[in-house]
Parts: sequence; structure tokens; C-alpha cells
Amino acid sequence: MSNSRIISPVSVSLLCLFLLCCSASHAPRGWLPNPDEVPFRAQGGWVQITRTSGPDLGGELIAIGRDTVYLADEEFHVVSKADVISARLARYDSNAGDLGGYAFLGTVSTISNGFVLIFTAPVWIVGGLTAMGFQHNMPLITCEICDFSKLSPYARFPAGLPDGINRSQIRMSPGGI
Amino acid sequence: MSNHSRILMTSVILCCLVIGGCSEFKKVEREIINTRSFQELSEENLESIRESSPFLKVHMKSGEIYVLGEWWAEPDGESVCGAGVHLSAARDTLKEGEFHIGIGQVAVFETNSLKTSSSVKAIAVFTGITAAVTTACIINPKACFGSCPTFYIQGMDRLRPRAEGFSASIAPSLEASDIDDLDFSALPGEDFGIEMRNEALETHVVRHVDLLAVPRNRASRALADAEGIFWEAEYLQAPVSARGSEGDCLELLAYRDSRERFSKADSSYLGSKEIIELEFRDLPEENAALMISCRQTLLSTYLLYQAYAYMGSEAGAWFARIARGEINQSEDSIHELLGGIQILIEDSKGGWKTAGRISEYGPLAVDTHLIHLDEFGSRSQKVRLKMTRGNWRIDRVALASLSKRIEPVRIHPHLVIRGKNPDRNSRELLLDSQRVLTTLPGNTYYLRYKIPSEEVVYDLFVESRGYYLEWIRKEWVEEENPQYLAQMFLSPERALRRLAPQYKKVEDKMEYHFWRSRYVKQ
Repeated sequence: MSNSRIISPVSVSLLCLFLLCCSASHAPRGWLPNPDEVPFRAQGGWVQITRTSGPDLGGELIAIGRDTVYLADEEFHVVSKADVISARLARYDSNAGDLGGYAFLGTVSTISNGFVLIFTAPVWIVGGLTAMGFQHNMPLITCEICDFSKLSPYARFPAGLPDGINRSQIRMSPGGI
Repeated sequence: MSNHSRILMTSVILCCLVIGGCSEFKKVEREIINTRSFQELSEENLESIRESSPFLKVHMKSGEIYVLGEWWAEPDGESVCGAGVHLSAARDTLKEGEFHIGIGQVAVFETNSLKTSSSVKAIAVFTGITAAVTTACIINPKACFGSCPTFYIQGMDRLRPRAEGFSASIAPSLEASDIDDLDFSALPGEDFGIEMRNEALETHVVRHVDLLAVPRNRASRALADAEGIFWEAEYLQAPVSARGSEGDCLELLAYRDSRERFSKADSSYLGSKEIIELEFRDLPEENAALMISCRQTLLSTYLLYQAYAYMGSEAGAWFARIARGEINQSEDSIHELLGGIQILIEDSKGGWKTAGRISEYGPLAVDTHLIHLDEFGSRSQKVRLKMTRGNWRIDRVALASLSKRIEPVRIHPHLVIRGKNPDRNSRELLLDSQRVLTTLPGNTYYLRYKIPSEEVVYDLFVESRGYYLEWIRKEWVEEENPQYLAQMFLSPERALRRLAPQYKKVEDKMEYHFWRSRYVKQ
């Protein structure tokens, strides 16, 4: 089998995984900051909540209260903690898709290894996919039986919802702030 | 794809990987500090936070936030100052500039440190592997791992083979048997395992792989001479002095410790010779023999691959012509000009006589050879080793006193395992002298042997028979040159002079690239 015939199915597999990773976050595309932007961006992470009553809710995590979780998309939402089955918070964009791109490039580069690519290409594929999975999960915090204290540092208001704030004016950050 | 294109493409990709990988993949570690803890921080702690987190976010009780790029805490601990941006609770920008913020209105402080992601480290490792293989095989293709089946003792050897089989059998017409000293003793009744690997771009055609278990007394050592006769050596004596062109080399030659004595090839003629002078304390009364544990450098491998490169796309046709005897070689072939290790012993008149020659080849595993000395009737304690410069790596030299001939016990493999399962078909092929086992790059076979149960110690040797076919690498074909090939056959001395500068350019890195380019996982 020629090098290109080995590499082709690999390329397709990695491309599929690349697309999968890109679509894995529920946040609007480009909304989550890159890791480099986190230190100066003033927004909460993106939280996706599965509830016992009603459909899933997703939006910027605004604050964690004593009994409630506050989040906002185009509207401000208040969810009772007792109503939460699970929550998944994305703190920043993992760039796992880019890592998939690098793994793809790495796999392609093994063409230059000649026959040895039967060993080096699988190293790139398996290792690249493992690294992608690891990178993809790194910024995620998932809680099934929620310990909300793990989420609060990544809320827009980590100390809790400020007293007297006008809730009707709180919307999801546009991103890029 | 040409070498240049491949190098360029790989370089660009690897640069992208290195640059991109280093800059993009980071993880963020966030810390929330309440006001009381912040006030208790020492100046050193504050400085440490500033270094790891250049931005400080000051969350106000009102929900507003200050993001400060340059900041410091006032000595009284009551305020924080800095330059940055002030945002509302809705995250509208209120003001940019310098701020003096009273701690009393602060809810919490937030810091964020950036760390390199572990994924990048993994990518860096893969990049390193690819770069190493690429560098080894593209920049110096004649240093790619090659040469015959390699044998490892199961459960003991991982990196270096214990033996290599039929190294000189590079074509069907050159099929031969090869006995290699495993330098290992087994106990009676032991179930002994050998791992046979094909680690190169070669097809190995293996007729058989038998274990020769040589019984011996506990205080002695079994050795095999060039005729395949086994001897019991009761006494091994290290030389009292050893001098090569570099001076004293006794320390390297006195023990089998993987510290090998070798020299560099001559820069103008690859056939140039050198001599090592050995002196022993006393010669045994009778049956004296010289024991040498050695392997070749990669000089002969380089020349073999160079010949293949000159054959290029016509390699198959050239081999057929050689096998049919259609190519007349010069009497002084490259093989003869490089030669083996010639052992010379001083005669009674002060001259030197040839006692024997080591001419078994292979650069992978150290093998032990035995040269009989006493049939020359000399009582001299001086021995010379004459060999081509830069062609041999010698681990140990010793004088042996041989007590008697001993007969080995031939053992066939009772079990052959491929992968994790017994492979009955492969075992049957190895037991049938009319059939062969063919292995391809990356194949590994585990061969198990039952050591006899007589209460003696057995020194182990492996006897393999077969031949191998080198795969012509793409990089080599680009050097196809019938004229230079003819020169290697018809005027080998000129070829060794012409190739000397070329070889010297890669000589230092040959071993390094060679061992890193083998084709199985360790």
C-alpha cells in the first residue's frame, strides 16, 4: 500500500474528529476566549444545564447563589439548584480542533519517514487523538451531582450576585470584551 | 517525491508544529482571593502573583470590575492601584486609565496564570520522533538500520541484540549457517526463550534457528572456533598491555563490558590498516588460543548500501548477474581489501606469522571468536591484531587455555509464538530443512527451547541458517550509477579512495542514526 493510500483514510478520520471537536462546545462560535485572553476578559464561562423540568439551558454563568444558579443568554435565567440534574462549564476555548490540525500535519509529515510511517503514523494518530481528547476536556468542568462551588470562580460575579443589581439589564456578554 | 522536496515539506510541517504547538495550547489556572487574604499577602507573594498573572481583576461589590494590566497594592493595604479598564456590571466600558481602588468596596480579586498544556508536551514528543527518523533516514539514508535477523534473550535484552544471524548472506546464492555466542549460561531443564526480530527494510528467509547448548564444567567457559568446533576453556587471561594507534587501550580490551575499542577510518583511503599490539604474561603450555569479542563498525554496511545505491533501480538485475557469475571481480575485492581481523604471532626469529583471521561480519551484536595459536610452535607472548582502520569495534581480548573438545546438544524450538499466540505453522517451517520461514519488517517471533536436564551448566549458542534480501530505499535509487558500481567491482582500491571523504562526512553520526532508525518498538 502506498504512503498516500495509508495517509488518506487517516486524514478523513482526523478531519471528522476535528469537526467533532469544533462542534463539541455549546457556546456560540468564537464566544469563548482563547486561554491567552482569559486573564483580561471579564465574562463568565459558558454553562450548559440539564434540568428536571424543562429543556436544557445554556448561557454565560453569571453567579452561583445559595439555592440558585444565574445564567444569561439573550435573557437572564434563574435556575433552582434542586432543578439541576447536571451542569457542564466551558471555561475557555480549548483549541482542541487546532490540535487535531497539528496531529493531521504530523501524520502527513510521516510520509517523509518512508516505510517507517507504519510505526510513526500510528504514533501520531493514536497520540494525536489522545492529546486532542485531553486538550478538549481540559477547560471543562462537569458535575453530575453538582458541587456548585467548583463553578463559582468562573462566574461573571464569582462572589455571588451583587445586591441591588438590575437583573433585567444582564445579558450574555457579546464576547470579545 | 525527491529528497529535497521531502526535506522541505517535513521541515515546514515540523516548524509549524513546533511554533504552533508552543504558542497555542495553554491551560489557565484561576485563583479567587478574598480581600482579607489579599491584605495579608507579603510583598514577595504579591510579586510572585504579578509574575505569574500579569492582569489582576478586581471584582467590586456592585458587580463592576477593574481589569488592571499594571498594578500594585499600597503599603497600608487599604487600596490597589493600577492602569487598565473599568467595566460595568453589564460589562460596558466605563473608563480606561489609571485607578486607585479602595479595598472596602472590593468583593474578591481574581488572578489567572497561563501554563503550557500537557498536550503540547505529547505533540513535542511525537514531533521529536518524526524529526529524528526523518533526519536519520533522509539526511543519511545509508545509516538506516539493516542487516539480517536479530536475536534477543527473552526477558533480558531490550535495546541491543545478543546475536545477528547470517549477516553475509545477502542473496539466495549466499545462504549460509551462522553460529553466534549468546554469552549466556542456562541451567538444566530451563525453558529458554529467544526473540527473533526483523528490524530492517529487509525480507529474511530463515531455514532454521536452533540452540546449541554446550555442556561445560562450572569453572570453565565454552568457546567456538571458526570451524564450528566447541572447546572448553579453563583459563582466560587478559593481556598485560595493549597499544593501538591512540596509545594504551588495555582498559577497553581487558573486560567484556560493552566499552569497545575502535578507531576512525582513514580520510583518504578506507582500506588503510592499523595494528594493535598485545602482550600477555605467559603463554599456556599447550592448546593456547586467542579469544576476541568484537563486531564491525558501520563502514562495511555503508559500502554495501553504497553499492546498492549505485545499482539503483537495476538492483534485481545486478543480483541475478552476480548469482550467475557473469560479473568478474578484481582479485582484490572490497571485501578482501577491508578484510577481517588478522591475528599475528611473533616467531622465534622476531618476524610475524599469521595465526588466523576473523572474517565473520556484522555490525549489530558482539560475537566471540577463537583463534588457535599453538600450532605455530611459538612461545612468544606478543600478539598483533591487524585490521582496517575504523572497521572493527573490539570489546574484549583474552588468551585461553583450551582443555578439550566438547559436543553441543542441538535443540530445536519446541514452541514458536507470534504476537501472543502459538504459531504451529512457523514452527513446522523452522523444523523442516526443505522449507523456510519468511519474515518481513516489524515481524517478531518468540522461540522457546527446552534445555536438557543433565546436571551441568550449558553455555548457549544460536545457529541460524538462511539469507536476506535488502529492500532498495527510494533515497538510494537517486544515486544510480553503473560506472561507480563497476569501479567498486573492478577497481575497488580506487573506489575506497574516492568514497573516503564521503564516508568521513557521516562517520561520526553513523552509529547514532543507525540505532535510532530501526523499525520496531522497543
